[in-house]
Amino acid sequence: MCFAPLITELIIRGGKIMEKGEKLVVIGCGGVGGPAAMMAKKLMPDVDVTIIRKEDRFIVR
Amino acid sequence: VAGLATVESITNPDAMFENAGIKNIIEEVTRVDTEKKMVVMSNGASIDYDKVILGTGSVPVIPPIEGIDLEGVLSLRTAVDAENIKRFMEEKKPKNIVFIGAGFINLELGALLSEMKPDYYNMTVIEFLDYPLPLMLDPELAAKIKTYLVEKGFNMLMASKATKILGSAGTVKGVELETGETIDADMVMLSVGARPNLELAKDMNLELGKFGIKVNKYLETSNPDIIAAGDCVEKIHFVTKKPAPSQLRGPAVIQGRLAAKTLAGYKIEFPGILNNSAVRIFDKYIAATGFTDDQAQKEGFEAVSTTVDSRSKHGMIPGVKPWTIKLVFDKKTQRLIGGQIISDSDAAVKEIDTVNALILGKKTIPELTTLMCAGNPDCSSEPSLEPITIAAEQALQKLK
Repeated sequence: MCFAPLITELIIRGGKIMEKGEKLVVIGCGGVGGPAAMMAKKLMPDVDVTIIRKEDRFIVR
Repeated sequence: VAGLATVESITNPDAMFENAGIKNIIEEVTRVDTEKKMVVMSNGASIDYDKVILGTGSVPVIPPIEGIDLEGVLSLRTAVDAENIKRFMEEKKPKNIVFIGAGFINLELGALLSEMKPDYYNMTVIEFLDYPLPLMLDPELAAKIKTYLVEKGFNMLMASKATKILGSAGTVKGVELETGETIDADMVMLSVGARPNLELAKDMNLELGKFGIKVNKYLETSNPDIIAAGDCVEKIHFVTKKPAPSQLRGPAVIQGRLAAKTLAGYKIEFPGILNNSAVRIFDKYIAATGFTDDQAQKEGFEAVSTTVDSRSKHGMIPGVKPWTIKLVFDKKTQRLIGGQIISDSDAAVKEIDTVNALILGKKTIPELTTLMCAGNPDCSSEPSLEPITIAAEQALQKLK
């Protein structure tokens, strides 16, 4: 028996999840912004993700 | 700054985001209209949102010292700062460099520059406290680093206060101390900490705490459509469960990914911070997590500490290098609450991650006396010299 769906169900929150076509804007692209945007697109491929940053290069690995 | 890596090599290319289907806009955000749910940029353009992840980071703390605006007074926080420092050094070729603050950014930078041009620079470090790396190390371990840097030719002025930066024709020429003594300087590096960048958050009327934007365990702010993460938010310390400052890359990256998971519906709590960090200074690798003995006592703990010397390999193996670990325990609960490592080996220093995991696991002194580690002559001390176990055994004796 695979428990993965059950476990996934348990950790999913009761609150609203972002839905297809909704817009996520990430402000800043340092330690937070880059990883947040990449993870958001990975988990929610149908969400429209935009990063806005001031610096030409400010994306720390 | 030292020329060991290009800026391109330490930043992620925009193509990485574009290839993932993420839109990338390079523009300053001037305002977030939370009523209209709209982000406004400095070019006048705007973009609608359903949710925002706010990661505005931090800015260096600039102490109120006269002469701070002189050319050649620099600080290091971002890749842009690094480019500015590099450009200044190429143009002005400074020889006398004064570092205000003995934290890890300044000491690492000083060591790297010295490695690039041995015996060229006159390096002076001015620190208000009695010892270097005060956020990472207790005084007796920090004293070893101070001695080591003195041996490397650094002028280490501890318990000293810079009161004025001296200049001529708009350019830095020296630093005046509280004692009246002056130190020649062609360049001054300021690194006395960072503070959260809260301009946008204030404008958005987000609830703020003492150390940044207030967020819950899922990084949700007082506005249900705004998630915030990283240097700009107030963290909770894992041990005390109290608000604490933290401006480190590790928590920022993890919180960034957690913010996305929260929006995707996962209910995963941020556990709190331990401010684990690591630095290399010449051939010394230094790492710390949780509280030092000093910090623990200031937080009201009755601390029990033990220090153990170990080695990176079995004693008979060529290339064996020494390392020292200090563990800090809370006497009342017997829980591990902090650790510090000074190592001549880059591999051994990462044992701090084990210490970190043991703190997160709320391990106690008795439990750690039975810790069993993987052992191999080429990559660990002898099992009989495993330092975490020995440190716990010594702490057990101190409890009597």
